[in-house]
Amino acid sequence: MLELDPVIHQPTRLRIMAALVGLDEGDRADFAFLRDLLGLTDGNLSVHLQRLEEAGYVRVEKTFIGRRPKTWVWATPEGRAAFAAYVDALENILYPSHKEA
Amino acid sequence: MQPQDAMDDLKAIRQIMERARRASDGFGGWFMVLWGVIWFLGFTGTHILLYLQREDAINWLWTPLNAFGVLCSVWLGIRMAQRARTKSSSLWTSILFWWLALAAFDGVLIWQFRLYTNGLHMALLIVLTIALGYVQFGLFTHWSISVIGLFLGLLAVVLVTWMPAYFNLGFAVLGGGALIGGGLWILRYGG
Repeated sequence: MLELDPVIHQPTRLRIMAALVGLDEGDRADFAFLRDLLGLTDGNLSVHLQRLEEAGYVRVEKTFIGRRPKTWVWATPEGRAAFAAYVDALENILYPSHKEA
Repeated sequence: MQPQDAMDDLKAIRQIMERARRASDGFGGWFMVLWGVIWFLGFTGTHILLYLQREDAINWLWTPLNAFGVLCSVWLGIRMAQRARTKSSSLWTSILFWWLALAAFDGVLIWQFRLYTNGLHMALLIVLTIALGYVQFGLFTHWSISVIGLFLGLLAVVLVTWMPAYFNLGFAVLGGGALIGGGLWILRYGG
């Protein structure tokens, strides 16, 4: 039986990773973009991003555009690999014989 | 985890990835629709004016149309840069200035080589520059934009070589149509 990555397995973090991996590699998402896309509160998103950042799956960068603060978030190569492995694991649950073949 | 849960998770993942892609891309679609409409109006008008032997009025048609297009593009570019939700979409101000540089390049060529004395050559230069711009732009964004650029370039060469009398009408329908259709496709599917 395959182990599902506990960091990504949490539903909100899974959705955050899906949104970030859905962007082209090298693209960064604005904090507000993620919040609106996923329908989360600022606090909820911050907590989960912190957990993903601790795992090395995302990077968070705070900058200023003019005088307005902007927080960029993006998936690291490790995060993309972990997400791909998680999706593989889900597909393996659905189609175990297909994977073995 | 049960297979049904895995299936639900995979479905949710695909939906979110698709929504993220769609929400982050597609800004270019508005520019393409805008210029597609301008091309349709401008080239259709040019065809009609030539038919009516009113060549003198062609400049009076294109000048306000182009001015309107540039003003709208600047407004769109500033608005999109301000509302950038992903890093890639914050490049729009740079892209806008790149298009303005291409326009200035064409302006100098038209002036120095006196291309304004031949409407067809002037139109061909502008259309080919725009086609090249789209091909280049697509290389940095999405292949579909390069395909539209390639189509516009080939259309220009085919029309000017074999059907010069239908250059304007062809570009109104096929060129303007390609830009409007491509723009709507990008807005719908996220380029």
